[in-house]
Amino acid sequence: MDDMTKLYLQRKFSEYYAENDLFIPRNMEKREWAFVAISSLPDFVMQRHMGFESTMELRAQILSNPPAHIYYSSALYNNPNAEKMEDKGWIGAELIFDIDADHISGRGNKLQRAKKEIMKLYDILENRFGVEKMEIVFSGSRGYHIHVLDEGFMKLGSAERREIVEFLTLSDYRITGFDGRLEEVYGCIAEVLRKAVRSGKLEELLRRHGIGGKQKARIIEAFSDEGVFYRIRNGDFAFLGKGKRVENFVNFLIKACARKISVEVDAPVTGDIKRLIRLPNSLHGKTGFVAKLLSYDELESFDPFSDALAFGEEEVKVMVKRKEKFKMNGEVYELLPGNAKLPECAAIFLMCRGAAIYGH
Amino acid sequence: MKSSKPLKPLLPLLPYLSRFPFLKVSGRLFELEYGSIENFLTSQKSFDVEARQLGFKIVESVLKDEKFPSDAIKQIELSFFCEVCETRGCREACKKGAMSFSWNYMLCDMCGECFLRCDYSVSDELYFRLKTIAKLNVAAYLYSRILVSLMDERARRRYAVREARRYREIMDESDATLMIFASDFGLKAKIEENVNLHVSDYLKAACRIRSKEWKLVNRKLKKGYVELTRKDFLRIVEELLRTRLAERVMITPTITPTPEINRNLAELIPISEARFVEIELGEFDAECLPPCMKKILSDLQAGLNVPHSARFAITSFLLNIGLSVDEVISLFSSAPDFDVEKTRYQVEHIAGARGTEYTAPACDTMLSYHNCYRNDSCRGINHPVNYYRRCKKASKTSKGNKKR
Repeated sequence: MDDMTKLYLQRKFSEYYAENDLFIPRNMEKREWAFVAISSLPDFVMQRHMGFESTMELRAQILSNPPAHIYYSSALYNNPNAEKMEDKGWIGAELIFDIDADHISGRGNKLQRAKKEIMKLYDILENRFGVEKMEIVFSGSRGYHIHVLDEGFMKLGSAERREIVEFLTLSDYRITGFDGRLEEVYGCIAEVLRKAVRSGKLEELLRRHGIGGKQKARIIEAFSDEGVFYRIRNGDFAFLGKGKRVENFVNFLIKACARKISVEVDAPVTGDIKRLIRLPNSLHGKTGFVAKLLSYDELESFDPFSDALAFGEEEVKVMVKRKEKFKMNGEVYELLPGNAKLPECAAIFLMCRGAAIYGH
Repeated sequence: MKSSKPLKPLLPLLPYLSRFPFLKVSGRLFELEYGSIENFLTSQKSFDVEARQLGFKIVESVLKDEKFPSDAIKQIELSFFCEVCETRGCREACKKGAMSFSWNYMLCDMCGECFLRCDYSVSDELYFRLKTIAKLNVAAYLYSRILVSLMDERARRRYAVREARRYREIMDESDATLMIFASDFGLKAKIEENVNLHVSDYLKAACRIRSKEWKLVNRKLKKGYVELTRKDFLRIVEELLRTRLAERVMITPTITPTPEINRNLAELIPISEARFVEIELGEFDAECLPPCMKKILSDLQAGLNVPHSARFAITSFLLNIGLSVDEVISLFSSAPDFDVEKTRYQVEHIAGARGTEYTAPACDTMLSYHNCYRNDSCRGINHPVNYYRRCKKASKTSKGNKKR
């Protein structure tokens, strides 16, 4: 990144922070703060172990040297600005979940899928874990975060948090008991099979798994009795008969349903009790987007390319460095290398990503 | 405040203290009876001498792996007087509202303030008998804790495991016992036919229990509470108790060991050390590395991009199995991006040169960071170092056989 671009971004980021209220996490004075200065870009030099007593102090720091990234610790410390982690005096930490679109398996629009995952996560946290206070935050780039603020979870250690992750991801090979989430898996299998029966697709499903002849007929016959779903719910698949193919079929159903009810959270993030997290409503230096705090209801229709924009329509001269295609605020941009006049929001997006430089 | 009836301090808890002297409120009884630890440690009264001997025997039986004779400790039938009490002279003592109409164990933190004002009427004779037995067990318990606090961590850990289990075996499943434990350990628990325990309390204990039925994913979890049978709840208590018992007693630094303590330790330490003869790990044997460490090491040596968590794992692992900093560095030196100075700094850091000595991550942690490459050879292993140790032990015996 050249100096002109940096100066421009510093000015624009500074304007943003001057015009907008900062999001201040509770107990801000007990948190560690960290910044990556725009001046250090493209290197990622993090200035950390900083503590602030008041909002004013924090604001002064941000305005004096506008950062590309602002982070604070999910943990509360007695001495947040101690240089060594062991001297900080850990008090507790919020429970953090990260769903990264780039880590989501399978096909489809990943950012859209990430939203689905975050909604699933929100529901599980509310209904299963009884969480009362949480924040949903757009990461500013390719994902979403949930911060659990309930006091009851603050003291959990890393191992405890990893248990929660396993509950969500169902990644562990030790899922066995009927009491826990396996009950949900079986419930899901019952629904899947019920749908297959109703839509007349059961036979095809069985055939696809190599089950045919008398065995297939017997299974289809078994489904004429409603009681079979009760058995499935209880994990009893004996009515399917025996054999390698049936075994594979059951495993296929279990896997498919486990995937359906699991949430793909990033395990190391949740397991880390001293994590630095992006400040909600601050700017993400690699996109220029606002890491927006969202309500559950806003999530469904949220599109970062129109709802997380910090900058407006004023025209800016830039030199585009590479071919780029994106849609922003309803406008489709198809850019080729060379000079261009773009609205601020698009120009800054490209500059942050290193795809354009300021002026021409 | 005047009281019309004579006080019977701690009366309702005495039966419980006699059986479960680890309850925090035992400190109240001790203070009441002795005033200070020194008074107890130096007392020559036969009662106190007997209590100390009992404490010594508890530690001795733990270290010798002997069952502690259950009749060696006098027991009182458990009954909770508060359940039938109507006088409630204790009520005003509680500022937390835990003693209003009936005892609210959810608000109580077992500070013991109210129990000191108990004026429930029982005969002086009964009160004295209850108190004597409770006092003996509390004093013996405390003495045993002092002894293990002056020993090494392994002895303390062993004591904690064994004693927590012994106490678990004499726990009953009555409402009163469960409520007392919930208050004492600060657990958010709804005690009904089953026990609904808050998930954060559940996790604190359950994540240290290895078997799969304790994994959260296998438990009934609703609105923040895990439903447990009473038996399971007591298993959770055992686990929390184990943590409590493994800690050093806070007062240790201020106690000057009496000649008696020194005599006891001189007897106990050799027993402890004989039990824990280190398995000699001997020469480094790359064949015995678990699959995860083999993979990381070969990736490093091939110059592949190895994540930070994996670098930390292999380094701490190699140090844990006894390699020196220089040996670890030389293993890494074939990597194409090898930088001696940087590597030395990092290895030394993990080795503890800068304060903390790190332990290699356990299998669970390796798994969550996607560094686990388990195969059949990992069966029954929960820590990479145990894999290595098991393999070394096996190869040693098989080599021995070949010679013969």
